[in-house]
Amino acid sequence: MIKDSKILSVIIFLTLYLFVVTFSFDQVPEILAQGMQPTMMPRLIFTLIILLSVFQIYQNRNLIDKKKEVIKRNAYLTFCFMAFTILIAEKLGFFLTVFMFTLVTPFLWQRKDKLNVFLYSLGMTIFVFVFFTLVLQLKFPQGILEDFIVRNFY
Amino acid sequence: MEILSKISLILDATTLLIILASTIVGVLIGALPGLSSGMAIALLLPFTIYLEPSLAIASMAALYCGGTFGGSITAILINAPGAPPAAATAFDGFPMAQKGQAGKALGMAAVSSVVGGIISLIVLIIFAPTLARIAYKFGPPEYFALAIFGLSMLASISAKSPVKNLIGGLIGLFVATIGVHLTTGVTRFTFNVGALFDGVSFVPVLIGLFAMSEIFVQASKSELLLERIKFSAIKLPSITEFKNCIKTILRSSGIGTFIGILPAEGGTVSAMIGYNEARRWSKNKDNFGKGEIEGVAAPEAANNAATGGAMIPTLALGIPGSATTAVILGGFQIHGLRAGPYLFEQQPDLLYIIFYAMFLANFIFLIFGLMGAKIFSRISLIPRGFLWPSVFIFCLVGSYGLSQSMVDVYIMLISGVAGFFLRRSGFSPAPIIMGIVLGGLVENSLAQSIIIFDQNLFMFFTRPIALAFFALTLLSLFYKPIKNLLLKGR
Repeated sequence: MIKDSKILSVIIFLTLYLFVVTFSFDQVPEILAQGMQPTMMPRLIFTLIILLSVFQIYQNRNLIDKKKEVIKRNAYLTFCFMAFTILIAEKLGFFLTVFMFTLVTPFLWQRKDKLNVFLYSLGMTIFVFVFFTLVLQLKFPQGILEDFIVRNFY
Repeated sequence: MEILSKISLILDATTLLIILASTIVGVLIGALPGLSSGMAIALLLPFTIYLEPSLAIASMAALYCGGTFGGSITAILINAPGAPPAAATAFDGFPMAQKGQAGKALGMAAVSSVVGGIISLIVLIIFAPTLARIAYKFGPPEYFALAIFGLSMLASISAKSPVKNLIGGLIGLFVATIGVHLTTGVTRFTFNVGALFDGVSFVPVLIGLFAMSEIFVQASKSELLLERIKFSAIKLPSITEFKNCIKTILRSSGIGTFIGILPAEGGTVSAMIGYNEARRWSKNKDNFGKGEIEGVAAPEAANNAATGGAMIPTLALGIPGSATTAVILGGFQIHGLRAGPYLFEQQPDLLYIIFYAMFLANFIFLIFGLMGAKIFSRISLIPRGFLWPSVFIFCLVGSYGLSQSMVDVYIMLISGVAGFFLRRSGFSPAPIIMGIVLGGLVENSLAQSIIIFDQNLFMFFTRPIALAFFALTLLSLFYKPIKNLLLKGR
């Protein structure tokens, strides 16, 4: 495999797709466009990206990809858990989400000291609640704890 | 002396406290391997909204200085540079520490950092207003040419792949086009998502590219066993040692300031060049890499000098001098400020506040860096299993906090994943950020130029300043290939 050809091919493919998307933009009368249709800039950018990506593939044609560091299971699990956390944050409520995330992730990262992890998780949740909600007055989604928080803290 | 009378601008308890806290946070974060000052500012940016705009910018500037210095502590003590600009410091700093001279290495790092920082600030205070006065003459064609020059510099200065940096810059320009086109009202790349009509928020993208992508990188790594150096006390360099290094420090400060001014990855590149130049000119060439004190002084003076240097184009022209100043420029936008020549007219005191904040930050990190180096070095030993989940929580809070919208959190996640895969393939997040920051300027100034020139783009050739920037752009893009071609020909 030519060095970086995979990622550059993905970039070219996505750019071509976005280039096609520009054809769905409304055209505006010349007088309103003031010399520059809204499609002009994106198309210029995409053309340059494609040209540079092709040039980079051509330039690297004799280079062979070094074996990249394998993405560990850990990284995939962390990513999936982060995505899951973000998706349920609104339903579950921000503080329960923070508690759950900080309780589970250290174990994904090979922590074995259960008590320390629990104390860290509890401490982090309390810090986020006190500093960001009570001090900075940020309104986070409270999810299933909404009634409890509104009744006791507002 | 107008500048001396302006010191009163920061002489109140709140301002001093904010500058003090920002510098200490900067040193702490800078000392943590993987966390850079750019990332720190990105994470804290949403919370600066609670501060006065000038105070918020001052705190970011102080954090920038503290973060740049902080990286050297762990580079010297545990051979783990807190941030890329400190990588060159580890070449000689860690061998010095292994020889039992950790205190001396830290002392020299702190003193040379301060000298480099102060020299670049003097250049900033003299040169930025002058540059701003010149920039008054700039119209849209000149700004367009300047922005293009800024983007082209990404290719020539960075140590990484020039073409990939250019692609990164263009990706950033594309991100900046998302949303309603201001001139025509046409929606672009919103895919009927209402939250994208105003464009992609800068902060979540920033947090995603800098911090989230780093979490994924860290998740792929094993727990590092770092060798900790025991040391009894920090020792300031003796007068003789300082005298022996003064030429190196001054040279590196000059290099750092100059490279900082050029829009690119300032600190890291200037530290490397400062180090190489110090070795080239040193009487003790052979000691470099084995614990030579000049090898600590040179990169530290250079990378701290780059902070002041990078602020010059950022403030005077609105063109970021480094990745971190690109983030600071984002801070300007969030606080409703517009960097560039008009900033000096509309907010004349802001330059002085930034100058004094950075000036103070240099002395604060000198004192706290030296006194607290032992504690700061322990920070880097926080287990990764606790550190990085906490960073994620800050990412979450930071990206949600500004507009209190979950869409921003999704954007942060997508940017993080994209940033991770791009970084794995040798792309740096800095050009993308620069592209996003410069996107509006590039498109608007081109559109205005087209109107001015009545659609005749050849009219650019009638504008000498724009022409000069285009010539510099060509030079920065094609200097290396032409040089290589000529060398091959010989």
